[in-house]
Amino acid sequence: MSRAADMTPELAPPTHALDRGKVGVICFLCTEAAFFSTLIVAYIKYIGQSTEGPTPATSLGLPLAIANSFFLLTSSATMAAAEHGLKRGSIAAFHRWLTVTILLGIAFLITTGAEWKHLIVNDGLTIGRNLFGTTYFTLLGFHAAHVTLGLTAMLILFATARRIQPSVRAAGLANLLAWYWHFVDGVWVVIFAVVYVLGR
Amino acid sequence: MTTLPIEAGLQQERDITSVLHGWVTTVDHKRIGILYMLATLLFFGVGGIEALVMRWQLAKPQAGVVGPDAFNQLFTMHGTTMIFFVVMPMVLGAFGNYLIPLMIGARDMAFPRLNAMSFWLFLFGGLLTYFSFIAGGAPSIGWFAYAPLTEYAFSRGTSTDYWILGLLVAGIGTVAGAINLVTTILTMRAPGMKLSMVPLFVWIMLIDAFLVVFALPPLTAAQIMLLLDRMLGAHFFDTNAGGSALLWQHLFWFFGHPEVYIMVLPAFGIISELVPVFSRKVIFGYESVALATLAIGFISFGVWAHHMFAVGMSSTLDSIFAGVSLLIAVPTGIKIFNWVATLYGGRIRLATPMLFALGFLAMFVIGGLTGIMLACVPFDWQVTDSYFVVGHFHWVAFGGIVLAVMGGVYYWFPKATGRMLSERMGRWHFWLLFIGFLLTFGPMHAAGLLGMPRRVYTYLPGRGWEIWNLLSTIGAFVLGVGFAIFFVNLFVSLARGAPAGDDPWDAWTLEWATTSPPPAYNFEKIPVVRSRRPLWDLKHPDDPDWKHE
Amino acid sequence: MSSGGEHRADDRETIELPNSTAYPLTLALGVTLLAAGLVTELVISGVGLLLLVIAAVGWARQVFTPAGESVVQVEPAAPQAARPKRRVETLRPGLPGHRMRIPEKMHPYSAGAKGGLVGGVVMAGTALLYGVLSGRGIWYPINLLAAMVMPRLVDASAAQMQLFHPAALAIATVIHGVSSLGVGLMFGVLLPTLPRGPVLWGGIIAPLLWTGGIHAFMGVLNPALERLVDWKWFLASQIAYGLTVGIVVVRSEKVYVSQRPPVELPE
Repeated sequence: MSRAADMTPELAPPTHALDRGKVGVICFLCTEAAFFSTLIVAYIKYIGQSTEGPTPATSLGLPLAIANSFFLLTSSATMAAAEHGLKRGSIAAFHRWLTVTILLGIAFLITTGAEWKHLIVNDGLTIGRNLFGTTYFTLLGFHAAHVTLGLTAMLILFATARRIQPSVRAAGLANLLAWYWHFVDGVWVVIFAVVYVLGR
Repeated sequence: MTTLPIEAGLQQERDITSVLHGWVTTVDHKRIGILYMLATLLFFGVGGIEALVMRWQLAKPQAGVVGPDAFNQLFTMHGTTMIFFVVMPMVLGAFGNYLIPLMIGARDMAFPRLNAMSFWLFLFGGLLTYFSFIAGGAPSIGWFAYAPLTEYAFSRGTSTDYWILGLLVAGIGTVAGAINLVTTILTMRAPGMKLSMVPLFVWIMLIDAFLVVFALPPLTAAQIMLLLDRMLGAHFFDTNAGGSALLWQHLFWFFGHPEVYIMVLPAFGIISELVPVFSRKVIFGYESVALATLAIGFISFGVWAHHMFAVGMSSTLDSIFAGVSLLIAVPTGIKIFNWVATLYGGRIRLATPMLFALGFLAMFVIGGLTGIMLACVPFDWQVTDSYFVVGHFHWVAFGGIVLAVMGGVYYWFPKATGRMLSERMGRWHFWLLFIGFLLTFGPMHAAGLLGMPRRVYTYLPGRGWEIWNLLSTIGAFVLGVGFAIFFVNLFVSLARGAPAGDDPWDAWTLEWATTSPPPAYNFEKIPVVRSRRPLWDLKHPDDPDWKHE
Repeated sequence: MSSGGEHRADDRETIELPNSTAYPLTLALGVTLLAAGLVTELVISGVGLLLLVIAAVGWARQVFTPAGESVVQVEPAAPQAARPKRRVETLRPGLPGHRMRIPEKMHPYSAGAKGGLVGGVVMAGTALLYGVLSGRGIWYPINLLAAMVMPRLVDASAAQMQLFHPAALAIATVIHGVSSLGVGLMFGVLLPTLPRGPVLWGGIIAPLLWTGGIHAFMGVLNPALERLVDWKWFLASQIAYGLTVGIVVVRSEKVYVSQRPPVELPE
């Protein structure tokens, strides 16, 4: 009995219209979006529901949040520039712009740390104080964790980009990392609107 | 050549070790699929034994087999196990993993290592949840773990934490697996195979994986909130601090109802493969099955609060959720008609897989009808949290998912092992399962209508519940015998089953175009696909399908 | 099975496959220990984190270096044993069924509609006959049907039911017409597919099932009708309807179902 597969009329190499890295990362970002949406829904649901303690109106200030927004939004642009540099084959441009991106990310984390320190030390707001603290630290904490994760990935790519072969692959990775970074920025925009504008 | 016995023993030991090492480090989608199947069967045995103990306890009024605390742990672990550690990993992990790359003519999944990680996360998550038995008692909170009753104030000890963490770990694996499935289906298809040509099982699994992508993260987020409440004193579900008593229910069921479809859609996919092959006809209305699945996927995100009619939402909300829930019967009904129309006029061969498929068709319709009854708010108010509900969802879960999955096992076992399952034991298995199923879950409806609440560890005599509970218990043990035969069949056929050959069912999809079991690289040559039945085209070059599509 | 050497894209004898690796297992174990530590000892979480980092680094190395993959020799598989006897029938091209839409011919939808309307008239006639023969008059059955949606009639006595109500006549006509037409359409499609002929199913079995079903839930649907109707005559009128539909459908000329003709695609 001859095997059906042997009767294949012709052979062609598999053609992938879509890149699996890109599809995988888009799916991953969808799960992330669903995750953050849940945290944001919980935040909105509990705006103004705290029974005691510091409220957003008394504790949250716009200046730090605007500075943070500036850092992150700018870092999205510099990340795009870094990605573009790698795509052109210029490791130097990639390293330059990625350094700026990482510094901006670190600035974001420092500012967030300063804000949290103020909230915890001055206002006595902790995750267990009231509903505001619970939802605020959970939402902002998970976002900051994502920023940290992104920065770690950037540092690794910074160190290894030169060694990844072929160089197209490094550019592809930078592209995926940039998507992730833009997503994290997008989440920040929503957080800014919900926490610092709507909720205050 | 002479070998000292002790050396032979050492050699054998080394062989076993290296085989074992090969399995635990594998990244081959077929091996991972088999690992998934073995692990889920193990969990299935455990969850089944939990069910049998509960039925033993409920066989007569005021029985003393287990006490209330143990009973709470049993139903919690039974539900959690069956949903998170049996059905979901079995349909997505075992069937999805094993079949999808073969069906689309790929050499492996898109991310083979991630695939292995998904499996281990699922297994370790399950073991972590079960570790709670050793660490001072299993969770006793029901599989949906309603907060605030699961807050630390009401649920002391660590059992609830084990439930949260075990499911979190397994959930990460499930989400990674779903991402892998979507990517595989979208990017790894054989040359020429358009999305409109993939087998319906693949179509349905694509939509299923999307449901996981969007439905599971909200559960993860809700579980993290609950964990923060319990461990760091946060107040998400703390009503004393202004938290909502309903937020958990909304978040849980926003996951929980798509979850029902995450579990049952793959069963639809299996049926959509079995019915055409055993009717010797092309599936009736390929496009409408795919579109109906898509419609179910979308609608399933808008029905969650029908689990909450009894909590006192506004009547507007009740009506909306009732309406959307009724709406979901339409695409489901379309599929039933597709399958029946495929059977119509076909030359039906009642092999064991087909028996299960037909059993599925009949039983799933009935389970769907009791679902429509429950979607009607006033009726739901009468029977909510009664055994009627238990009867309903087991009718769908067992009569739908389990029957379809068993049909799938009989159908694809020859492909995975190269040997046929025993048809004779298969028939015993089917009929014992079918009769046991009717006997177990039919009487539950009656007991529920007579007012028996779910999750009670015992009941008083004289309410008319005795006979129904006794019948249920007898049925459960008939099921147990049926599954014992199934396990015997697996072992015996693996060792002594008839050789299957490449294509024992004369089927049309690509998994039958390679050897049984397939080599690590699946296909010597990747076939070129021009129609929905690539293997038909290969077998009948004079009358190919692509001229008709 | 794995061997060294270069893999070329056009090489059909070898295939590149990812190597076996324990890093996914290690990473999963790390995540699990990280979680388990939260309920036991934080030290365990620390170990988990360590495993996680080690596994992630090793994993990344495998993905981004050639070390992660090796070339596998394709072994032409030996022909496998013939299929066992237990198998499905072989389907041959040319036989009806596997690709054809069946039934090949069916009664036109118009036959079902026509049958429904004619059957409706016969059914109404039977019901009116019942009204006359039982001495309650022709308005009695009409009012009973209209009571389904007319609250005024729900609690009416048998005597009131014998009077003429213009609204009831209009409502009953609409209900009767629409349901006769709808059921007729359904019968037109279904009856010819059932074994042993449409007259048996349409005339006997379906009316029996239908009447039984209605008998069970008429208390909810139309309490007045349940209270006041004569079920023997109710069944008789259903049978009259079913027989008529069956006969009308059978007498209609069958039409061919549209089939997809084979198309010649460019090679």
